[in-house]
Amino acid sequence: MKKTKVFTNGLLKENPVLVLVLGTCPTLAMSVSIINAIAMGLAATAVLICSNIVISLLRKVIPDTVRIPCYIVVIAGFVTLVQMLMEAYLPDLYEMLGVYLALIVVNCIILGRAEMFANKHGVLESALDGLGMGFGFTLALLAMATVREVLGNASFAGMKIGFLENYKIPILTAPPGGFLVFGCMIALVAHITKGRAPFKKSFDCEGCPSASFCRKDCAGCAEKTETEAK
Amino acid sequence: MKNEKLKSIIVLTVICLVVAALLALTNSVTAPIISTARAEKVERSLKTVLPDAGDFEEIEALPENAPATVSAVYRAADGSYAVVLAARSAYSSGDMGITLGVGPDKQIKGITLTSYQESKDFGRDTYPQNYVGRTASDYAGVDSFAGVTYSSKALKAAIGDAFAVIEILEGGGAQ
Repeated sequence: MKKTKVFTNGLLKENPVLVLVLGTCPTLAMSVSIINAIAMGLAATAVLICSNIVISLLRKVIPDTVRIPCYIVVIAGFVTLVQMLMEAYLPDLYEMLGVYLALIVVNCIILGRAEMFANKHGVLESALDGLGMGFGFTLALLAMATVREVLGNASFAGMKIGFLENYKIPILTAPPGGFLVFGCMIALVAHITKGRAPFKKSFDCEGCPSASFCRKDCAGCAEKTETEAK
Repeated sequence: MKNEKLKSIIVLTVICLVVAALLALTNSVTAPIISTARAEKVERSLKTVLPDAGDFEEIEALPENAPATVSAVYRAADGSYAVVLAARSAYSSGDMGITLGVGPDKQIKGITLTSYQESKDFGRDTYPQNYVGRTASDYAGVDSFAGVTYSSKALKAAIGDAFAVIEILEGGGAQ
């Protein structure tokens, strides 16, 4: 696979939020304001790149049976590292992100990329995948936050937009508005990609973290997926 | 098979040890910065809750029977008290930092939340201000509320603890 393609895949075609529908919890919570969205996106990107690199480096050392605990330890380590550095050097941002920063540990995007990509590819490709997926996550958050903050709060990155003050749609800053914008964005991306992305091979049983034990109970699953793909 | 199991144990242990060592190293660099920043924040919060009280003096030896939520008590020259509290609710993973200012007339003059990880609206809502003007006898009358991401029950209990420690100090209960 071309290195540029590895990077660009995460931006739109395999966008972790709008195509793979991963990391929904931080997406909905942090897309209320643009500053929060950028901060969360960059923190997750840093963890994604670092964990992808380390997991790719260790892919031949880590036994299959303990790979998930190993990934979790690596990811949790990087998240704690980011937390400590952020609390020390960017305390305002640290407070803004609150509990969602710690929740990066259980963000499906990071574990998903470790399992689907980093443990099968080289260091450079894994780093590029982390970068692309991280930027894809950040861009999705930013796009959602822009819609929610501008139309819901009549402001952009905290700066008031005077002429929109009387036309605010407050529901957009509330959780139902988050789901509404999220749904519209997914529909838009599906329209742009003509809905082909979810049928790519990496999203079938082979790419699923649960495939090894799921297939024991579902013998026909693989054949069924292959037939559907054809 | 036995070798595989052993390898799994060794690999996981080594990864845990390396990650722990890295975190310990980072902590040794960031911990002093974080603790200085927290101390400065508490200092600022004293001025927020009691802006006209002048200089504060920390009461070094807290009474032994002081509630566990009380982290520090400061006395101002005019007889006001600023109580720094760390309250914890049943479901939260971290402490809720509260600074409470009680005037010489034993009325709450100001209240501010200095830290709480689990609320995105932390510090922006006005609920804690409902306690301003209340005393030890009527603070419990402030309604709690539900549906928020921090515990108003824990906040109310902490305020009770602040009044309790002031009462101990005023009554000569300091040991």
